[in-house]
Amino acid sequence: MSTCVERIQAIFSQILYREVESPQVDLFETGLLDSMGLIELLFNLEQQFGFQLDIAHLDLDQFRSIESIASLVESSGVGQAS
Amino acid sequence: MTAKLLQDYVVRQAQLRPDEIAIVSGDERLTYSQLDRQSNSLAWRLRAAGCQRGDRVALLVPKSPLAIVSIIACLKTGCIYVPLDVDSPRDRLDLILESSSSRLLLAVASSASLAEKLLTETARTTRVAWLKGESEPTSSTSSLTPAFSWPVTEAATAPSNAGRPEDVAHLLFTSGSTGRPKGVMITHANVMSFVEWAISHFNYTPEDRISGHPPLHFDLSTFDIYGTFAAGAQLYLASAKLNVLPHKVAEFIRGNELTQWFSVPSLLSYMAKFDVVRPHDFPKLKRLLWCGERFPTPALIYWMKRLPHVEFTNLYGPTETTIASSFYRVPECPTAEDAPIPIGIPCGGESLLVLDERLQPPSAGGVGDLYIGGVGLSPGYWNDPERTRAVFLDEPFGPGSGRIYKTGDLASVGKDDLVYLHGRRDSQIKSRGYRIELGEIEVALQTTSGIREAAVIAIESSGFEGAVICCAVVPERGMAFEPQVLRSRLSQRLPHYMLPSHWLRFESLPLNGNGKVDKTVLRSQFYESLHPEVS
Repeated sequence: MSTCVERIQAIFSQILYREVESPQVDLFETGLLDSMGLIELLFNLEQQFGFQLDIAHLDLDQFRSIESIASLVESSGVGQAS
Repeated sequence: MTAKLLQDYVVRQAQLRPDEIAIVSGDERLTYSQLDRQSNSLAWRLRAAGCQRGDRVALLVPKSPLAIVSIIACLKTGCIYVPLDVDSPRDRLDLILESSSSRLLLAVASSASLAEKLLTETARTTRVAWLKGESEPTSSTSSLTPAFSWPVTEAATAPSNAGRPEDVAHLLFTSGSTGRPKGVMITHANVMSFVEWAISHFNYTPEDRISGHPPLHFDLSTFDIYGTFAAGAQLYLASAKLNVLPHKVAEFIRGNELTQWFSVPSLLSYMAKFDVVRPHDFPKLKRLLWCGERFPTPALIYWMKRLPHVEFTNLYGPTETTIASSFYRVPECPTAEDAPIPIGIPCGGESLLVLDERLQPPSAGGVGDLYIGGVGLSPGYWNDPERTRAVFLDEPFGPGSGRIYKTGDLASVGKDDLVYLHGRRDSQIKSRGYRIELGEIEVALQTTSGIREAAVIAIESSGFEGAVICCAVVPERGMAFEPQVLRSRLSQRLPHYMLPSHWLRFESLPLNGNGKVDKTVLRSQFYESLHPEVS
């Protein structure tokens, strides 16, 4: 079974068509994540991991890298579901 | 004193209210006196480096009080400033530097490596100058020999400047269909005519707290900056990263008690989509203005229902006619979700003309080309008489009739005497407020490896983003089709907002009877792939 990081990497490359060099790359500094990308990302995270994110409680830092998105997913307790 | 040139607004406010705040950016605050005196000091350094009236100075400085100080300093030296997008790829900035033949490139620590790349590998005569913020040692880490290095200091007066209102104040580069961005020349008088009209029309006061949302290379930002300074109000600079999370934008408006918000509609739709505006939110907000593209009516209804105390105004106008040329205050919340919102009537000193191919008005209510005349008209494109002549018509109605600019937008005049838009004649699109020539993307694709043939189309989306850019690709023989790799290669040439978000592989591109790529077929194929449930 693929890890949470791998699954998020796959969303970036297969759905958002964005090449992210490593899970630590700063997605904002590199322009890889903008408002349009975020909407698609949220939609796909919700689809794949089956949970709802409340945008009002989200912080930019939680989306800064694939690694930080993975910890957001894992902290919501559904990271291992598939 | 009366303001004759844009920088005079700052000088005047520094006399009237020296200790009032002019600019707020995060924890940073700059008073009018500081803005005036710091820009004086930098203006002397520019002059000492040989900058004369009419010289171009490129700014590679992220939006900040320091960036505004640099802008005012350039103007005080009589120079033309060229704001560069620090997030744009190097290749595109190269074209802009080349075209503007800037004498200096002003950069800061965070843009130092980009400045270095832009200046070291070319035989350009442009020299770098480092602007040091409070704790930014830049020159020591760079191999470039700077023209100067300016620590933030103040001076009581500015160097003498024989500037005139018809002098060019800035060059704003917009997307060009041939792949070469076009530098729109904007004069002091162009901006001041709009600003003077706007501050009286909207009743600006020194108590106003104005948003500074668009990036500095975007012409809307000049209204925020000079409108604020003309009124002696406060400018609140919003960081670009704020856009990603809609509730943070709402917090920004709320927390800073802004009285005016001005942005592209896509951000407003994005905020509506996530429902981040509370009923009767932003009690201090007086005006909400948008410009740059159509604001979808359902999102407008969302905003107007929540903020009954706010005045909603649609502004319209391309960069070539300075900030905006027409306005329409939405009198009441539209009841129908498909109610068209007009672009309204001309701003002071401007005119809107709807004309057919013979430059005659079409029959009542008919659709024609939209032309703009009057005080906002740019003198044209920098160093490009050919492209200038193509769209700026000189006295088409006889001597003394004035110049008009062909916008490329299709429009009609309604029974209510208001002007309505009906799309474009060419392949220019708006995506998230950015003006994009699809041709510029196609030119970049032609030189992207892995691609044998490609075509780009745009599909209007029902979402907040405006047009969605779609790319049809025939890969090189034997090459895999990997959109993420192609997108990444393309990002070396184009800013991120121009990158296609949808990609389809083709064995060959569909052609029409004339042997050209059949974009209608492509459009329907992309439409089907984006809306599988419909087909």
